Amino acid sequence: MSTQGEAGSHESNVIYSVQNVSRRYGDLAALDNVSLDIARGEWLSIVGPSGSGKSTLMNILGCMDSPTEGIVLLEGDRLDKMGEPELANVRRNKIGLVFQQFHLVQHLSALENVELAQYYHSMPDADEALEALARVGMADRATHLPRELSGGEQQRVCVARALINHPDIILADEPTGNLDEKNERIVIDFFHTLHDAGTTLIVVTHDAEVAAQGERQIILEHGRIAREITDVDGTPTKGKSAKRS
Amino acid sequence: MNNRQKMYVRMIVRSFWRRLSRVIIASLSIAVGAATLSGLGLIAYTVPAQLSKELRSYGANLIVIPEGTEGLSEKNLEDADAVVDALDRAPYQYTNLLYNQQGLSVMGTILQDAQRVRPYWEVDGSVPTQADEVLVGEKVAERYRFKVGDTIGLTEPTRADGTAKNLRVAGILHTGGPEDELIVMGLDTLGEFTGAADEYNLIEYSVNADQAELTAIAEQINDRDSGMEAEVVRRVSESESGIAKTLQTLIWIVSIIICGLTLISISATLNAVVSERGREIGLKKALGALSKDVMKEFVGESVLLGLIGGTVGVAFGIWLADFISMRAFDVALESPWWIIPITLVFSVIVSLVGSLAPARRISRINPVNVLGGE
Repeated sequence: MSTQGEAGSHESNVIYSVQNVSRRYGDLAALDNVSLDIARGEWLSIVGPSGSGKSTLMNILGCMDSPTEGIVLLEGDRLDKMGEPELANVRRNKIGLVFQQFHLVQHLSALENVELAQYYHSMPDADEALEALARVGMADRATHLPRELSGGEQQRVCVARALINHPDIILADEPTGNLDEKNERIVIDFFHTLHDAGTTLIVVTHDAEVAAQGERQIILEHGRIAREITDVDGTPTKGKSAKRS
Repeated sequence: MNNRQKMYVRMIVRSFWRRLSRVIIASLSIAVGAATLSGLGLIAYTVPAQLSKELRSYGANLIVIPEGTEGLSEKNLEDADAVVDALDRAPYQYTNLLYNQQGLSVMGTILQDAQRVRPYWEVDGSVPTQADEVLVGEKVAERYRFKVGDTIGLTEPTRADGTAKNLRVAGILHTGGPEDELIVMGLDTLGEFTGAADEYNLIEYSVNADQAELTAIAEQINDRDSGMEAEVVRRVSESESGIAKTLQTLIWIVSIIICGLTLISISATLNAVVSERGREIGLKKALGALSKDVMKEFVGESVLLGLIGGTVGVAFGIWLADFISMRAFDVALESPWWIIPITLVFSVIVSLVGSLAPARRISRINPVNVLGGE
């Protein structure tokens, strides 16, 4: 089965193409006819009040939910044409997830939590996992269980887990929502490092300062894109992107 | 073991420690099932043999009698002995003697052998050890007021001179059966009256075999066409088969019920585990795990659960069977080694079957639940 969509009509630097996507739960539209392109290597901030559809959009981009209308193309491939194994394969190989609530497996150590992502991807490698923890300043806490770590430390483990398989895309849902200022800085600085290395970052946030780190912000309201702000702080845009309609 | 396999084992073991209380509950369910089944299985396996030994106390289960009017010879006895692998055997010779001109039935036998074949004999006094001693059946003793130590004069009816031979009453025999109407003495003592100590009217065998095996032995003797006829004592062998069959059926029914209850218990516990771990399962899927990957971990945990429960269960089951065996049969049970692997395999299978429904729920868990939402 071919999953190739309208890739031909898009520029090669478009990693996600969201076309007229709606997600309805009964009569309620969490997303209502949203369209946008996300460029490869772009840092996109998705902002908006609670219930605006930010997380729903994130779930759809993360291949964990599907739209009730419209299509999403990832590198030109239609997600709606993929079955569970293909979607799992995308999550494994192309996407790194960072959660507000960290979602670490409580009975595994920090190191094992990072190895878990390797386990489902290919082969656990403790040295490589330790190196990923070292990159987020957590090497000395590798053997600790999540309950023995602070919120900031858990989030850094979560970031290490997200990047261990070298994904093209990092999807972060309120990554600094539970962090103090110091840890927020550490995570944001690390996102900058990833961004500089060419990783596409899609960050859902309430925090205006965090949102401003992106090259582009889209503001969702009632499931629709209400506004879009580009190059808000003069950061050079790595990829071209535009609201489609 | 490569890193992936090591990680798999580590995840399962850590998960066990993390949910120790659940593990203990689930393991206990399996342990109780395994203990009951291995215990009952051992009893079902050993009961027929024990029962057979117990029922030997009701007397012989195979007899050999003459085919015609002639008695059985010493050769007949040897021939029959060659066919029957008996626990005990006793030959008997019957005749009538006179006491004060009144007829009395007399049985000659090898007294020690007869006591083993007829363990229900009770003797007041002692069993004759001398050639001039006899046992007197309870009813005969009552009728003629014989007491232990009395001397009685018995005469062979066809003897012309009518001279009585004096014999001492060594003991009074109580059986509740036909022996109570008899005078019982050694074959040599009786031979002095009949002139034929090595001629028999009956041979009794006590054989450790079921009814089918007894019938086969009897047929084997009858096929020899050597002037003797073997018969199975159906009263004893049938009750033996009947009791064993009833016990085994009962044990099977109880086992099936226990098995069902264990399955329900395991399934309920593992269902709770899946519910508890919904977030973790969703997270794993979000990280790229397929449902079958997570199920594989779940199955691994179930196997470990079965092994732990089975190990505890089989140890307790062996103790239980030994305890029951001691109480019911006063015999220490020798458990066969294979009960351990069989119980472990059974426990793992029950654990796996019990995990089927919970495992199916894993495939329905959506990773979107992990991300939460607005």
